[in-house]
Amino acid sequence: MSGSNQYRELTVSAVILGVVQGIVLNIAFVYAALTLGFSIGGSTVAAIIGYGLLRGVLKKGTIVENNINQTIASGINTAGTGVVFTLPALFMLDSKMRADTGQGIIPEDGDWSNLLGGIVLGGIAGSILGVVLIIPLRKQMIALDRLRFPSGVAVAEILRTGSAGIDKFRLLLIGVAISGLWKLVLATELINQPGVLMNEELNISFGVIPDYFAPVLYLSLMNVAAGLLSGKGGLPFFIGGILAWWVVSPMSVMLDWIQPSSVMELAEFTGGAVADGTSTFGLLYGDMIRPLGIGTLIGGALMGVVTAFPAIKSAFQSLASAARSRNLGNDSRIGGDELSINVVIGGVILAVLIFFFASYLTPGVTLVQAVISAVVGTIWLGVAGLIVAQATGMTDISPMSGMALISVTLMMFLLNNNVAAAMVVGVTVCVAIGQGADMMQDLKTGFMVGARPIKQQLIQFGVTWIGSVVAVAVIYIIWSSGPDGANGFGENTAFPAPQAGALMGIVDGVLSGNIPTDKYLLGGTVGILLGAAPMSGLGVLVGLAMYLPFSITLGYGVGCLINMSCVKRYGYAFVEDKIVPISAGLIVGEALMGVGYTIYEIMRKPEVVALIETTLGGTYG
Amino acid sequence: MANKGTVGVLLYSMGICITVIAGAKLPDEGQMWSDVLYLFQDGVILTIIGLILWYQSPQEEEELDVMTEGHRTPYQLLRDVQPIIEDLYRSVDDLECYQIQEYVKILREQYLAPLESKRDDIIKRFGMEVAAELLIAISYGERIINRVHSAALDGHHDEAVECTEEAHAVFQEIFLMVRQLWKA
Repeated sequence: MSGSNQYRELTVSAVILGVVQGIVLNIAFVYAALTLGFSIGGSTVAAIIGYGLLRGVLKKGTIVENNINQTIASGINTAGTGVVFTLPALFMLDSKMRADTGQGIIPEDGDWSNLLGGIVLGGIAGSILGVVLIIPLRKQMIALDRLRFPSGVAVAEILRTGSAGIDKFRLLLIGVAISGLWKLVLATELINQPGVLMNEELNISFGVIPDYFAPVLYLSLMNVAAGLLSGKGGLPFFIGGILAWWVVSPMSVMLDWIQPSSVMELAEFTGGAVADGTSTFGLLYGDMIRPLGIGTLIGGALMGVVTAFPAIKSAFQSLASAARSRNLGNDSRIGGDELSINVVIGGVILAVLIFFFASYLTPGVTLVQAVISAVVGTIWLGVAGLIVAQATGMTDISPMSGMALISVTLMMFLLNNNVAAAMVVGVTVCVAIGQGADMMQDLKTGFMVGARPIKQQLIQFGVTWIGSVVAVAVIYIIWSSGPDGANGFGENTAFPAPQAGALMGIVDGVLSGNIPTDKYLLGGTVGILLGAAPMSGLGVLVGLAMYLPFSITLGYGVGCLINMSCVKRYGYAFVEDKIVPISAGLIVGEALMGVGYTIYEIMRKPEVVALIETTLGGTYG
Repeated sequence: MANKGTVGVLLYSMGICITVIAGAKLPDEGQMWSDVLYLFQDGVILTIIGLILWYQSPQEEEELDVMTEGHRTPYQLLRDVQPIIEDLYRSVDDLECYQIQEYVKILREQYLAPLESKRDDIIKRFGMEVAAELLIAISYGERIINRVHSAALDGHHDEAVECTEEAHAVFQEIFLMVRQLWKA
């Protein structure tokens, strides 16, 4: 670690602060995900707190030291996100099966210790694999493909804030203020109007545009800012959304492929989100476009691996040659501050072994099944990690839930419908791909501030496993706080766990043989054709646009178009000097207000007080 | 007459639209595939034809771009950045932190950022395997330049000097690579 007279980077203060912030954010966001169904990345919050404490209080913090702090905090927090979208579904499924058939997933009448042990091991394996996967991909995506990683850019702007000149600082603050206030207005539902504006989505049908054109705009300024930072590079994502909702959708209606009960439901809809729940959306999005998008995403990513093979090979060769240079004592500096290829190989072997034991510990899994799950799981994890890292790099949006869905489906198929084992693998994959995407954002930030990647990667190896352990513990405590020590979350509780409910529905669907296989296969073919085009990432971007609601794609596309118009009118320098800091501010403002408001909402709940009393006092009700 | 590239992109786009539209149709109850699967197959064939034409055309055009470009080519950018790096390397000990920041700003805005937008030209000219080595080296050099900037922003003059020396060494390797590549 850095001494006092050196430029501070990997320091004890940064590590302690990062771990503490990571654990606090992890607990808060696991709670928020169970209550509200979404989580928030913690990098921006950690960077700002780090700036205040390392620089303001300790008076000796540096930009790269704060980069280490936010790398650790977001790593621990993200590991929790991977667990919270999968593990609760396992508890809820067990409870449902017990109620329906008298027998749950755990044969030994609710003894979770072995399974939870497997899940904790799976989470740790996921943390390691996520970081290992990113070592060669860093070169490909950051050094060769130069992906934008909008949140990574935003965090770099924060880290440099205060030192980078008053003009940029002022623009960043303006962005923070606008976005924070706007988020507050939306979150408090002050301007909500049934059928017009609900759940932060605006109905722009004006009573004229039919529902099948998806005339809904997501009012998140963070979303627009991600488009602003991506510019022309993000345009295929917008075009993919247009193809899905302004070509495929109306054609399906015109050709009488679907018969929605009404084409103008949005204006009258009052039962929740504007863009979710009408029959037209349910059919077009849920049954047709979204599953096709998942297939396209996977096909596009697989073809991306084929077309980017020379780049991936070069990235591996570069790692190997850097290691050889070090061993031979050559003078070459290039690649001297990165983890070597031996770490990649060793990490994969270690993680596969942990993966194997995590599966094998699961009740009902045979030796052969554990081997299959470890090998196929690791290969799938590599593909899913690549998809999520590419999608995050190009658009800032992570298709994590779609990858969890495919992981669980694939593993249930391979493991003879063993739900528990499929979930263990699902947790591992989710933690790993989340970790990989987060690490990539942090490495992009590190690139922009000149951090040493080896230090970021080593510390991520060392601490991110904490996130999985904390998240499993929090989820188990909340589950056990229910009547008779179970059912603490799920339907009719204070914690509806919507994401887990959705995953549970999918597992139910797989068990009953109801999987849209045709959509996955046809989408996969479309993805391969898109991925074969001489345009990097086309398959992933179009697939992602079909997978997400159009309201998000539309807002993002508006950002891309504004960026392109600014480049044309004022040039690249204007975009770098003005648009980038404002966009970074918009991302930070919404993230900060989102976190703040979530904590405020949580603290208002009487159940929270009861839960804290239960946990601390040990008085189970 | 429209060239191969334009026709290729048009056929490719039409093919993709057809495959996505046909792929979206739900199969009838109890069926695995929808009744417009033939349309999907036609779309795939059209897309592949478009793709072949698209691949055949741009290679010729874009190679021409690299050869005849009026403004700075990747080679010119890499050649012109050398004296700036040398100048910074020689004078960094005597510079104040804010002056180092000014140097880095020039390096970034006038050379490294434009070079980033030319990465496709480098790949097309030398192929991915050869270009990757150069691009990875440039990226490494750029990261060290970014570290010089951070150290200067933090007022840590010693680190800024040390990293300038490192950046200088890295760019010497890059210039050597550039000379060998363009000579070949």
